[in-house]
This record gives sequence, C-alpha cells and structure tokens, in this order.
Amino acid sequence: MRINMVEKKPFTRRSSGLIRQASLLDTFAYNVAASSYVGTIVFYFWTISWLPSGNILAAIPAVLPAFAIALTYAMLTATMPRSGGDYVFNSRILHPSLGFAFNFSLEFWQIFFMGFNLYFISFVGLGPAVEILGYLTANPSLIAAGVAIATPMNAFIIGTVLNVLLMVVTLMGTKKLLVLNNILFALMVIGTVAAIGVLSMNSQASFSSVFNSFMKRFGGKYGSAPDPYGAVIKEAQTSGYTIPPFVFSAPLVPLLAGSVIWTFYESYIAGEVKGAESLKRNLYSMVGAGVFNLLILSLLVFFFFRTLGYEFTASMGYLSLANPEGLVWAYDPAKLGTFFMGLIAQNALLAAIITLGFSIGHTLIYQPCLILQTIRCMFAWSMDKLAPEKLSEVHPRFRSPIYATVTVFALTEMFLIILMMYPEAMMAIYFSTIIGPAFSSMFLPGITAMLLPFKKKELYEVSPAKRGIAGIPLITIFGTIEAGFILFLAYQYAIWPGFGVSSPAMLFLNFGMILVGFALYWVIRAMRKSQGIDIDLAFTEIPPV
Amino acid sequence: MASKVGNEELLRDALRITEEAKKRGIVLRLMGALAIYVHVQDFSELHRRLSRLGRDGEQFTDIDMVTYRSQREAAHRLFVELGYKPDRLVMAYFGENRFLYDHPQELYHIDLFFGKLQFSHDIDLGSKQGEGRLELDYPTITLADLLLEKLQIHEINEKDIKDIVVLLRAHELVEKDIEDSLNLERVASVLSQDWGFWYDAKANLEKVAEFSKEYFEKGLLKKEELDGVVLKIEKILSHLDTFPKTKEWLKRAKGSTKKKWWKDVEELVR
Repeated sequence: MRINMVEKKPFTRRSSGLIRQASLLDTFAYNVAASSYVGTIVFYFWTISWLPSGNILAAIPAVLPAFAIALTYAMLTATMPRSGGDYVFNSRILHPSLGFAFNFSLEFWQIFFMGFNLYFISFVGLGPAVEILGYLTANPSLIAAGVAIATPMNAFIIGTVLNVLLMVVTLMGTKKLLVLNNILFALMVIGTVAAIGVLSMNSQASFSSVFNSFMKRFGGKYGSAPDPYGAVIKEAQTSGYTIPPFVFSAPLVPLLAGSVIWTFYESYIAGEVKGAESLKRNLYSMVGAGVFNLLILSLLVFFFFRTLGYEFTASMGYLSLANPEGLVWAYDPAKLGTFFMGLIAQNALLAAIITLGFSIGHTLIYQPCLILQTIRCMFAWSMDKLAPEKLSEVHPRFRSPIYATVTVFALTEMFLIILMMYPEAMMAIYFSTIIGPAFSSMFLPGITAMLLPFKKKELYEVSPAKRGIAGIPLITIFGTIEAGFILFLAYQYAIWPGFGVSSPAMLFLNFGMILVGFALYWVIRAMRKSQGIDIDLAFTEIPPV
Repeated sequence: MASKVGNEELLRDALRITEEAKKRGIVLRLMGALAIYVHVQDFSELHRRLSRLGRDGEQFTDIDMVTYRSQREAAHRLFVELGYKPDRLVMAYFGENRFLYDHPQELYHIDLFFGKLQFSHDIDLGSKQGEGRLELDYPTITLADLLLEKLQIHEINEKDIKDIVVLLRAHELVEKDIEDSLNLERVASVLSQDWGFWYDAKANLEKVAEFSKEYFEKGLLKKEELDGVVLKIEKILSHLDTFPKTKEWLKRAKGSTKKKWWKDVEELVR
C-alpha cells in the first residue's frame, strides 16, 4: 500500500518544537471551574433575605455585557500568549506599578479564598451531603457525621488534609492538576445535570409532598403542621419577612455575573496552553465557558423555582438566616441548595451523585484554578525581580517552582488556621470581599485593552486581536464595556448593605490591597536599584515563553 | 535562530558534555541534526553539497540531547556545573518532558529531553538506565531512532529531508542494532504500533524520494546517490507494509485520516 503525497512543499520550523500541555478541553473545563455556576445558587440563599426582588433569571440580559471580560481576555491572551494573565498584560502595556498593584491584590484574595474554600467544603459540601444521605437512608450515624463534619476544628482538619493532597498533585506537574480539574469538572457537571433532570421530572406538588413527608420525620415544630411546606412560607411572613417580588432588580446582576465573569482563568497559564495565540481558540474556551455556565445555571434556576416554588425558596433563605428554629438541618443558608437537590432525588445513589456535584461545585472546583493562578503569578513576579528569586527557582525533580508552590500552600494553611480560630469574622470578610478580587483582575485589563491599540501600536498591528468596527478597534470597545461593567458591579456592592461592603473597613479590605501592592512596587524598585538592578528593563519586553 | 558558533565548535561542546556525562555514569546522548552529523562524517561533502552545512549552508541551531527520566537530576547538575544556565520558564512549564539550558555566553542553547520524545508522534527510548535504548549507541542515540526522530515530524522541513537523505546514503539497512547501521526492525516495530506515526513516516519517506529526484535534477545528488537513497526508501516502505501490526494500529487505521492523527507541535517562543 502506498500513500499519495498530499503536499510536496516542506514547512519551516525555527527550533525544536514542543507539545504544550493544556488542550482546548482542559482550558474550557478550567474556565468553567473558575466561574462555577453552583456558587450562584449558594449565594442566592444568602442574599434573598434582603434582595429587593428575586427573579435571578430576569438579570440575564443585564449580565450579557459581562461577556466583554472573556472577549477582552481572549484578545489580550492571543496578543501575549504568556503565563501570568493580567499581570503580564497590565505591566507591559500600562505600567509595571499598576500591573503589580492590581495583581498583588488579586493574589492576596485568591490565597485567602483558597483557604476559605478548603474550610468551606465541610460546611456547604461534605457536611450537608453526608447529612442529607443520612436523612434519605434514615441513618442517624450519617446524620451525626454530617453535622460533626461542619464544625470549625473538623473543617480545619479536612481542609488541611486536602491542602496537603493538592500540594502533592501540584508538585506532580501542571498536567496532573489539569486532569484533577477535569475530574472535578465532570463530577460537578454530572451532579448538576442530574439535578436538572430530577427537578424537571418533579412538579411543585410532588416536591411539597416529599418535603412534607421529610418534615414529618425530621422537621421539628414544622413536622406537626398539616402542611409543613406552607408552614415554612407562613412562618417567614410571621417573622417579618416580606417575600420580594419575582422581578428584576440591579443587585441580582452581581449574583448572576459570578457565573460568567471569571471564565478567563486560562490566561494565567497561557504559556502552557496549546494554540493560545489563536483568538478563535480562546473565544471557544473563554466565551464558550461563560455561555456554558449561564446555560446550565439558567436551567438549574428555572427548574429550581418551578419545582420548589419561589415563595418557598425565598422563605427558606430568610428563615435559615433569621429564624432557623425548628429547621434543624437548615441552620446555614449556604447548605440549602445541596440539601434540597439531594432531598428531591429521593434515592440515595442519585442524591449522592447530586450532592457530590454540588459539594465540589462550590468549593473544591476552584482550587486547581486558584493554585495554578497564584503560583504562576508569583513565578512571574520573581522572574521580573519583584519577588525573591527563590520563588522562580525550579527543582529538577519536581519540575515546578517549588518555593512558590510551598509558599502558596503555606499561606493557604495560614488562612485555614485563622478561619478555624475566628470563623465568624472570616465568614463576614469572605462574603463582603468578592468584589475586591473581581475589581483587581478585571477593571485594569479593561483599561489595558482599551488603550492597547494606541499605547502599543506595533504590538497591536501584529496581534490576532486587530479587528475593528467603523475604525474603532474591537478590543477598545470590549475593554470599555468590561471596565464599565466592573464599575457597575463595584457600585452595586457598595450601595447594598447586604453585600457587606459599605463600611470603610470593608471598602479598604476590598480595595486597599491594590494600594499596598502599589506602594510595595516602588519600595521593591528602589531596593533593587540600590542592588544595581534596573527592574524597568524586564517590562520593556514580554516574557519569552 | 542559528547558534553563534560554528558547527565544529558546537559539536566539540556536545561531545565534551557527553564525555563528562559518561565519566559521571549519566547516560546522555546526542540526538537531532547534530547527532546525524556525527554519524555521516564520511559524507560531509554530500551534506555540504546539499547546502545543509558549510559556509554558505545552514548552521545547526542548537544541541539536542536525551537522558533517562531517572537521571534527570544528575544531568541537571552536570549542565549547571559546566556553566550552562537553566531556563526556569521552560523547566517550570514543560519540565516533564524537557529542560533547556543556555550557553554561559548565550552562544547557543541545549534542549535536554527525558526518555520519551514527544513531538508529532512519540518515540519511547526508555525511562531507566539499563532498561532503555540509549546505551545501544554512543555518543548519539541509535541511527534507527535518529531516523524515527525525523520521520515523526508531521510538518517536515527541507533541512530534515536533507538530513534523511544523507542518513540513508551513509548507512546500510540491517535487521538488528549494529554499530553504524540502520536497524530496519526497530523502525518497523515502532511504526507498526502507531498508525498515525506510520502514516506520517511513509508520507515523509515519499517526500524524501521526491526531493532526492529534485536534488538530482539540480545536480546536488549524483546518480548513484539518488539510486541508493530511493532504493533504501523502497526497502523501508516495503518492510513497513509487511511488518505485522498491533491491534491498536489496525483499530486506528479504520478511522483513517478523518480523525486527526498527529499532535500539534508548537514553537517554544510564539
């Protein structure tokens, strides 16, 4: 058998090529994970007690401008396909002090979140999952175990074990961490798709019947009511809660946007991504992940409201925060989503699949993204001499920046310890400081994208992002929308006290790290100068790989 | 990018490193174009005639070397002690498969691969000392593996084609690993396990035959050289056709070219 020669012409190649590790599917899963849609369900239960309205799906049109973030990042990444994300773009296109300041703030919060996620998994993931399985199988030991898991000390122990395991996987190489991310992604999607299936197959009547029979057995004071489902709604109103109208209101936008705005995380590992210089590829993985998240979340929320009922959902959110007495299993709004999804499954195996998906979807799923992101950014700072050189030292056995890796995991552990010691204060900080990292990673890249065609003309001219409408560069348009959207989100966080950002202390916590980073840059620059090192030189070129 | 030193100096440095590695018990071998050059010293005039070498020809761009994964750390220590500067970015991002070292005066760089060569198609040279193929030759990998290294390229370039021409011209085809001969069995055995590799290898061999004819027409190859190369290509192709294939090969062959059969190889710097 002979093969015809398809093309006689040889190709050109400049050096020994290489196979980059992160595929399109890897990065799609990575981006979906970074902006996990499960978080929106959890936060909905937290916020419905004060939201002026409750139809989160009505916020979809208002969230569409958020796609400008993924579009901008896709373009910037194609222009500079290097690991380091916003730090690389901002420091090279705008100014190194700004690039470092915003990225420093982002990394501070990301490491805090890493600690928090590991701690939180016991409260909104593992604990309620085991508890609901205990209820479904009428196994008091499992119920007790679920409750026991959700205590500060046990959360710390479980978090520490997970932290160590994740560090081991990280030291095994990027590909291994991406494989882990793919597994978590698959479990989350399987769990949530199963939940959508179960919700869609149940009517409100069948749910209230399941809920009522459950409450008869475990529902405390509600168990004696003829209709516990209706009694929950009535109790919320008696306690002073007015169910908000089922319409659109502005603070729903930040809630829903959480499922869309973070789908650019692959830009932090772009140097390791196959074909990251292709705009089309980046659009598939970044914008595609946002579309995927919004679609799954919309289905989930639609069937959630349809099957559980809006009034009941809102009342449960309120009661779990304000008056959980009698709802022995509903002492925390964060676990309600997992709980109801498991309950309606009415089958232990299906409930296990669903609760596992939900447990992962709001906690563990974020870890691989945050781990790689923080390590890559620290590594990039060190390469630019803004951080100790040790942070970019690579151990030949582990093939990874071992000091940066250990530093990230040690800081994560430090936050875990603080969380165990001061859980309530830390919880308050967590829920109030979501806008800080979002602003740090999205506002400045919007400005950078806006100015790229004018500040770095030569770079823009050869960039795959060089496209325009009526003479206006598209990247400028998307960058403007991105910066505007983030300002809108920041404004919403600031004006609604329920988001917890309105106090000066919380405002400083959210945005103060940017100022700290800015000051640090100039101090480090001066220190380096005294050592005879001109760090400005590093920023005149983009990193080589 | 061409190195800033001549081919002979590059070769001298490469041999010095492999010699030093040998003294330390590290199985380190040359691969790539420079390794082919080591094996075709008697045919350097042909190499030069094809404008692959020499003042007007092309320079080697870098040094490619390979060691076992189990000797990664020892090899790293060797390069550092010899003054070569490790590229931290490459180590951190791609260190699973390769490290990269810059010459102390940045005259050239060295790519160091570990055990399995992963490009358009994979070539497994073993992972542990005493269990792999690196010990079969010195100071390079075997001629069969050198040929496979060229044949795996999905987007082959003219430099590679010229290297294959000279490699085939200079060596006899045999059926086992014998010094200075090309083990046809090894080539066929690797290609019979991987349909995609087999497909690209055959296409590349046919390209080499076509280009050889072109070189002959341009007066770059003599008639006996052309005949020798074409004959060997036919012999390899014929052997590939008759060599028994694995189940995986047969299964993948059914998918044909409707499915992508190679991995995309990118530039280090893009």
